[in-house]
Amino acid sequence: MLLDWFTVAAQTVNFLVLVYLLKRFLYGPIIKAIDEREKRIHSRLAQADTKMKEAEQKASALDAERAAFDDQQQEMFAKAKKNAEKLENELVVQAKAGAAAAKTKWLQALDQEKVRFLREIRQRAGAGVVKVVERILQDMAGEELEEMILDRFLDRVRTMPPDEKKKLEDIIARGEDLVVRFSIEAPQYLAKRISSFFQTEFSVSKNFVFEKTEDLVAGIELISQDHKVSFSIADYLEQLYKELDLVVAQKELTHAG
Amino acid sequence: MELSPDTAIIYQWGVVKINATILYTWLVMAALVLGSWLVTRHLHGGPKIPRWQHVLEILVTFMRDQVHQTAGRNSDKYVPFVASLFLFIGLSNLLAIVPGYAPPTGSLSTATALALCVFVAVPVYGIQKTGLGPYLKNYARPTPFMLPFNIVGELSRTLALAVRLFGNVMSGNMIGAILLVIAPLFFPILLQILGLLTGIIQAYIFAILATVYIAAAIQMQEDAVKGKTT
Repeated sequence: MLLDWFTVAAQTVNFLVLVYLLKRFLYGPIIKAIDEREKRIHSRLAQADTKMKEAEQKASALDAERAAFDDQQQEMFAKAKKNAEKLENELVVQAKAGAAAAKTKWLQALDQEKVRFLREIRQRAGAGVVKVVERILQDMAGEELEEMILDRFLDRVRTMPPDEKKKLEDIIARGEDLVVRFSIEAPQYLAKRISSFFQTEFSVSKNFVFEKTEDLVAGIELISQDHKVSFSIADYLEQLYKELDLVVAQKELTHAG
Repeated sequence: MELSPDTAIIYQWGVVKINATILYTWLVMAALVLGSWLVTRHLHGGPKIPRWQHVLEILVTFMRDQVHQTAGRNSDKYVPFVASLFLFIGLSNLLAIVPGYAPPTGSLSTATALALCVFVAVPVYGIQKTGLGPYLKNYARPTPFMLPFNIVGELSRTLALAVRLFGNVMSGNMIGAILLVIAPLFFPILLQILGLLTGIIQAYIFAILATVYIAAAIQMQEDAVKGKTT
């Protein structure tokens, strides 16, 4: 007999028990785990989708911000460049003006220095010339020169303008002693010539006091209390020095103008 | 040579007896339940899961998909029954490769028991779905004259289900044993390999046919309800 009913019954029970046990230990937990995982995956996918959308939104916002920032940066850069160029131009103009002013000032200072130098040169040259001439004339001074100068002095007194001659006559008429200065010790014959000239010319006999002074270089002076008549090289040199000084001053004025 | 493992009695006390069929059935059951318990006691819900959990998930998902494809999306409650058929028959047949083991599915009693389970399960699920009356009326469709044919058809397909499984497994074992006597070196190995393939195919056929019967019963009820309402 191939069919054993007890075995059939036992196998039926066995199979039903197996279905229950597998449902309890296999399908239930496995299907639950699969469903949970699927749910979790769906949830994560949804989260990822949401985050992706958020990220895209953030990315687009960041792109926009970056673009705005770039624009702002370029605008600021252009503005800064413009300001820098403007400042550069201003500084160049200021520098040029400063350089021109400094140049002008320097040129002026140079001109002034040149003028001062030239003036000093001229003054020193003039003074030197005068000094040399004075030295030469002092070296040459002697009785002969004094006599020639005396001749010239006496001619001057003789050819004096009438008002000055009148003034001299008044001085002589006051009776005071007149002082005659020479650059050397006056020789006797020169003293006599002076006395005889005044006696001849003004018809008075006067006492003269003769003195020696080196200030005259070479020459003669007739001095009263308030008047002086002279003919000396020193006067010429003084005159020469004044004329040189005047010429230098005129040159400076011309140059400065 | 024993035609059925039912005849190999291990223990008997009156009517109650423990034969090779029952013993090996318990063995297969123990292997299935213990293996499932060992794997599912530490289930991982994260993206990284253990290898054996993978295997079980593949098996369960495969059977679930098969049931869904045959009986529709809302058929999760039939999955334990159908998948248990597949796993029990499949493992019973695969273990045939172990020397000394006699597959319980090679017993007509086991095949009959499983076929009876399907025979009962079909109306139970059908009645659960639409109620007793509409289900019973279904046997009188399209005309009451079809009632005997429908009942005979129901019985015959159950019988076919049982005999198909029993015949395939028993014949495979029988041919293997005969060839072992005639040509002991080469052919038995090939037939054992073929037997493994046949065993899995038989498990698949049995499970799928059970699903088809259940799905057909449910579908007929739904069609009947629809026809009535329209």
